[in-house]
Amino acid sequence: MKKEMVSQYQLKGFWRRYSYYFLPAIAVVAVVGLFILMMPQFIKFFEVRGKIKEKEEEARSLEEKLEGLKKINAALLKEDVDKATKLLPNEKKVAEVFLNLRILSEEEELFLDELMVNPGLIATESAGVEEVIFETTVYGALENIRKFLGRMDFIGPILSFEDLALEYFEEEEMWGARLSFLDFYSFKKYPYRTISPLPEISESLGEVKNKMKEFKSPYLEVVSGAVPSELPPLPVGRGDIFSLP
Amino acid sequence: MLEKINLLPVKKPASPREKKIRFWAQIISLAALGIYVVVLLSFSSSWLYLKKKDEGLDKRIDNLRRQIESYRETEGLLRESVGKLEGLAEILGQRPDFQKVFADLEKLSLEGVEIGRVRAEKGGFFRIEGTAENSFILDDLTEVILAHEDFQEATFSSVTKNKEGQLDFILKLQRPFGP
Repeated sequence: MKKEMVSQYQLKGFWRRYSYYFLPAIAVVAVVGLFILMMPQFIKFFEVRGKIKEKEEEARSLEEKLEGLKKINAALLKEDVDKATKLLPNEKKVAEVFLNLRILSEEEELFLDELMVNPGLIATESAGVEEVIFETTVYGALENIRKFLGRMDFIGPILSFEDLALEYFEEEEMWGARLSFLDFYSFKKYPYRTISPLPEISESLGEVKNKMKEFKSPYLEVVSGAVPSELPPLPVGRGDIFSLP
Repeated sequence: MLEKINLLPVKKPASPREKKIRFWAQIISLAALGIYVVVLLSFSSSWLYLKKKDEGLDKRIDNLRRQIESYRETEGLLRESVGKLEGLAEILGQRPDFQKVFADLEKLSLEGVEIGRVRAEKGGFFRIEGTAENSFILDDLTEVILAHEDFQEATFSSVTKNKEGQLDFILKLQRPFGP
């Protein structure tokens, strides 16, 4: 009984003494406690906020991409790709190169010697271009050789000279031009990517695009009937290899 | 009669300064709690707003991707077109201009000099084999070459007298920018 009274007195005393600190203590405990409890939520909040910024950026770039795609004329683009593919094919066009040279040499009244082919070195890894080395010799008048070389600069598939040796043959009274040149083809695949922005045709690429018009394939012109010639059509093999002859 | 005696320590009345401190402590605590509640409420409303925005963005991105997917073929064509143009630009940029070789040969044409063989290589290197009537004409040829800005490092690697008394020469040249 006595003990109970003492403890009651003690409690009352304690309360009287410290009641003023009760509210501040609750405030501190609430602020600190809740802050600790809410910490993971705060972290997540800022994470989500960061992600939203990224998503907004992504949505903006996707919108720009969609706008860009809507503006593209697919038919014209297909034409451009076809033109570019004629200059830079996806596969080796050795026979077409040979026939182009044959037509050109005939038109320039030159004699075309045998054509040697050494396949395939990688010309530019980044652009995915591989090259085939050709070697041949043409004989005739120097002026005709000059014209022939000038026209070679504008045939498709595109060619690039590596080496030229001009020699005058006194007995035959004509010049011979030993040519070493490269033919190119593109082995690069162009994967479709939803997220990445659309590639742009820069000013310099625009110039190349305009320049493409200057190139011609004498062989294709003959095949299409634009230029008459006695050249045989390019052999393409049998359509159905199992059919009876 | 028993006297009630309080044996507990007598509580001293608080000084005015102490009272003031206690009063402000209460006020500040209340204010802190209030601010904290406001912060919590605004945090939770921002949290809800963010979640909604996040969901909305996900839907928007999905929708855009689906629309872009329908232009898949066009995008493939564009990538192929740009890739090919880049390849062509690279080839055209590195392609030597052998038309220049002929123009250069004309620069070297001189009476009394006969050019028999010319070899032009990528990088602007020329090797010219020819015959000159005499050494004075070879001097003239050297002057012609040196006077031209298009040539550099011109050297005669061989000059020999042939049966007709003319000079067979081998001349090596380099053009600074090509062919």
